[in-house]
Amino acid sequence: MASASTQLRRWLKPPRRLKFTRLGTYFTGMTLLVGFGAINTGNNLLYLLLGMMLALIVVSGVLSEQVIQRLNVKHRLPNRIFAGHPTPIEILVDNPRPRVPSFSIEIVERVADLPPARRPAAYFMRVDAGGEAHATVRFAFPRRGRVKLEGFEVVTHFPFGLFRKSREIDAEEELLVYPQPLDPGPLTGLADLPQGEVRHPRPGRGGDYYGLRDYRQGDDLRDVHWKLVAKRGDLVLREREKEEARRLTIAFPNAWPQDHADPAHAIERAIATCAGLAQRLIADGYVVALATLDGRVPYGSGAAQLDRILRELALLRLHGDPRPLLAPPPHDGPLALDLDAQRGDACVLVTLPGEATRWSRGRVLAVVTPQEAP
Amino acid sequence: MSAAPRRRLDLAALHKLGAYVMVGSTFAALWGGRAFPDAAGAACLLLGVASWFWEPPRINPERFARLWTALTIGFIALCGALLAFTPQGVVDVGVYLVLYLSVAKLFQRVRLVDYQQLFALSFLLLAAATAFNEDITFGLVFIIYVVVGVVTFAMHHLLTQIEENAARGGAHVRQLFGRQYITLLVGLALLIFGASTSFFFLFPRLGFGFFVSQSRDGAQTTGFSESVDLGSHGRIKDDPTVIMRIEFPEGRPDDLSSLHWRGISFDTYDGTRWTSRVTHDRALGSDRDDVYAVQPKPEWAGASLLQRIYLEPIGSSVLFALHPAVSLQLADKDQGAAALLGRHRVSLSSGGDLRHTTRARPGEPYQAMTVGYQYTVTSWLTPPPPERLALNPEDRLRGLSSHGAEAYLQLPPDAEPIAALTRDLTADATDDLQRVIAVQEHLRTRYTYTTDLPDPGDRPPLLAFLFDHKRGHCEYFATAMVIMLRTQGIPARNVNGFLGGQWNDFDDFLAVRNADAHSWVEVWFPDVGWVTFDPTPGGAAAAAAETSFFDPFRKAYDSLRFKWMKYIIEYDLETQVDLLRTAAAAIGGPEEEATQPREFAFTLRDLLEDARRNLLPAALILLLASAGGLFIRLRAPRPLAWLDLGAAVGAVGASFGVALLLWRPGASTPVLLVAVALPLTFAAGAAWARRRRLPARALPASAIARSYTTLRDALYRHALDPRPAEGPEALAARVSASTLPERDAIARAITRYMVARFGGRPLPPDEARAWTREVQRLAKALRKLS
Repeated sequence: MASASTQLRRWLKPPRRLKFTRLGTYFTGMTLLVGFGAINTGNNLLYLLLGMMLALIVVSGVLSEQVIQRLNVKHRLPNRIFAGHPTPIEILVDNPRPRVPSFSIEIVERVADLPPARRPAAYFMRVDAGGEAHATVRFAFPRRGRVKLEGFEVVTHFPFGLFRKSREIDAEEELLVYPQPLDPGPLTGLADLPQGEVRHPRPGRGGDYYGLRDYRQGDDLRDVHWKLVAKRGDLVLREREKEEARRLTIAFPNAWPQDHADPAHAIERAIATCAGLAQRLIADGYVVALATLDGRVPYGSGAAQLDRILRELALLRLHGDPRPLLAPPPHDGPLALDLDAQRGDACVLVTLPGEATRWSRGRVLAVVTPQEAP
Repeated sequence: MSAAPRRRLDLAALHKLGAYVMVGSTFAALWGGRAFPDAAGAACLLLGVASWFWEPPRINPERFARLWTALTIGFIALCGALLAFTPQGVVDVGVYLVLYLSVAKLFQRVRLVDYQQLFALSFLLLAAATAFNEDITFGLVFIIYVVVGVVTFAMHHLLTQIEENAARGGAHVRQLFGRQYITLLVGLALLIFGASTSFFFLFPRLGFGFFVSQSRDGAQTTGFSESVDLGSHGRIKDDPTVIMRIEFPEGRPDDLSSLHWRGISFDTYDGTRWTSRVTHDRALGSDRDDVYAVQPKPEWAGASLLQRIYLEPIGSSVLFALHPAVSLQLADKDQGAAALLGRHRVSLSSGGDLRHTTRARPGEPYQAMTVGYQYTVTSWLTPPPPERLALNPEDRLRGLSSHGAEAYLQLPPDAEPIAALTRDLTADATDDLQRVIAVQEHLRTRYTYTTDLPDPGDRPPLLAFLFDHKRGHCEYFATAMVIMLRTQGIPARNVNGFLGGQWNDFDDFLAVRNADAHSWVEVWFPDVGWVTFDPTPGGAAAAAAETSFFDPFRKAYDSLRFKWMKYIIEYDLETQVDLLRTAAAAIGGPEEEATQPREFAFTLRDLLEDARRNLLPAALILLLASAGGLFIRLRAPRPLAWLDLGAAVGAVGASFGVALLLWRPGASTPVLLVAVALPLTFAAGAAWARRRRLPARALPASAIARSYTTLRDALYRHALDPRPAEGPEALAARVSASTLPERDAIARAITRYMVARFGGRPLPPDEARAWTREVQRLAKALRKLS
């Protein structure tokens, strides 16, 4: 039924939207005045002027229609999109008409829940007949989480700037916007990481170099040490330490902060700091897990693990969030971070100032609080 | 890197050129219409040229900003003084002001918005020119303005877009300006010009004329005057200005050169000057189609000749026509500036002159209009049978009043030598016709036509002409013949008008020019009335018909001008309806259907004319209809109710009552229908409009918060223990857990507040109103608890 109502809404939606620009408002006002003058005085020369102004309006409408119709629009987005960080969006316009070029068009990305004036838009002065044009626009998505892209709006003021005519192209898509990684600051606590943490280095698919051995069937060719192969003639493999070598859990209590002047802003900065911390630790070769009040992202390393953590952080909801639509489902029992006590997880707790004691449990190596915005 | 900026410069330069052409062309149209003195025009021209070079970086505009402000204030003060202390009208002073502002703006071209203002000013100049210049030169200016204006306007849009999007990052702003684009723009301009003319012809010409106070001043041509002075006639002989164009819809006569386009007659000659003493006018009656019967056609008259005449503004009320005229029909009386003058009058003077005069309101004297006329006259050209002209001297004055007989026999001083001469000439004649012909032939054969008149010295001009020089132009010949006949007791009068004309092959019409101005004689014959005689030798026609190298060009230009006057300036409802009828007939519709637009258009016009006479009741009906519609519209978003129906019925009833009681001389059926239909239409429109979805304007956050605070304070004061820093969620939880009678409704209202305030789902206007009302109701209920 939902799709039926959507279909109905689409069907009822006007095919074009027309708005007066300021110039257009004045122009139309003058046209009305001239029309009144012509009818009132019967002066045929005023009728001539009226004819000119009406012709300008009508031709303007016809040409603007020609400019925006039958254009195909698509976009290319980067793999990772971070909130608050200018993301390059490449917009491609394809004009399939064999003879009619398009002039002076603007393509607006219809980002749901964003006022039209703040939506990303690219301007094309000309799209040749049968040709394609592309432009890159940089746009900072304001919030983390899922963002619904409804499609595009093709806008033109051509040829005289009297009216703003637009046509909507539906192309629904959902994006995941990661939180913007913030610098977690100095992680002094990690220096105290006991040697025992590097208990039994074993070969695996982790980060650091472990040793060399001969190539065996089924080994990953990416690990072949090609320089030695060139020298020795046999296939030699570079082995790395297994991931369990340096393990850390980022602990983040996703609860609505109390006693903060701007709790929404503070908690979002904490999430962003979490993202920054994950980025730094994975870049430093740590095997990282994320523990929240709702569960955990298991240990892992490398780019895929960073994506997993960022995705979790992007979709993270806050317990006690007064914004009911954003709050997670009700939770039975006391809230607690999902730390693996049996294995004795070493963790870095990311929390707001003054809340560390509330959430500290297990082996907390460091407490990271969001740094103040410059 | 270097190509792009250069192209940009080209675009800017062309844009600037276009703006100058727009202002310059409209300025020329005004100057051509004599809207300002030549000295002012020359000064503006010089300043305009100088302003071309007055721009950054050569000039720093900020340095002169104060100077321009002071100049503008000074000029406005000057305009005020002109209005207060000189007879200059508002329109004239308005033109001066717009002209000054245009020149000032040309000197202050810094930003694109300055050009926008320049376009607006040029348009105002063009609009003003419509009141001053009706010539074809306006048409030329209009074409230039449309073509150049469209191209410039489009370039302006392009520059604006470049400027706006440069900030967004110029990487994707591709250059498109080039020859191809210019070609496209020129094509676009031609398209718009075509569309403009289509709109011009199709827009209904329903002369409304509610607020017009005076007609336009037409440019007057010289050469025709209602008083004639001997000796002043020769100078206009070479003037090729066309003052009248005539079409012959039922076929042109064979001999065009002998057509006497009668204008005005004179009865009294004082020795140098002709005037009229017999000035009695008789208003002619007309039928519904504005056809005026001038005089009945005699039984001996042959076929009629239909003339459609387009008369230029000549500053006279005289309607020229071939003599004698049977009937006259004015073109659409509401056309052009005549829209305001429903009270017009066509009269026939005792001198046989046809005149058209108008007045703005009853009680005021009738006056000549200074705009061009278009009218159709039916005349007959058959000369009267000679036997009806042969009469005895004792029968001469039959049919003339005593006053008329006295006037048409009046003689100047020193007429005795002329009488003696005439007696000699007519000694052998047996009746008056022979006498008249004898005098006419004498003058035609013994005297020479010339425009190079010798100085008569102290001698009366007529005596000098008849006895000394024996040379003169048509005025002398006509005067001589009239006076000679009068000395013999034959009533005669001098007539002024035009003779012949030039046939224009380009467009099949006869162009009558100032050079064709002519004088001739009318003689009274009781059985047939006034009969035309022309004593001027053929030299007059030959002189007027002299051709020059430029004649073909003149003819082509005149043909163009005629088309302009006929199809643009004189275009009216009648022509428009004919056009529609022709179109309908061409499509193949039956004749009855083709006449429907005409009937409809004229009914509508009559209705509007009726409304113009009943301005107050019409305004009242409009007001009632608007009030009814507004009432219904303002009750949105409530659903339609009996109250709305009542408002509609009330407006209809009141409007009907106004039409019935106040309309003068009594409301016709169409008026009553409009009085009912108008409020109904407004009411239906309002009902439809309020059902439309309103724009999604969210209630401001502050307003939502205020309402929530009201509810929270009511809860704390009357129902729950106040808790500092308690959030809405906690409050809603406490309310839900309480035993308050409206706990669920209160919790719902608080939850909706949280969603609107923090959940990114603002309250749409309809819901916002309902939510606010609900909160107010709950707060009131809580207050009642204590």
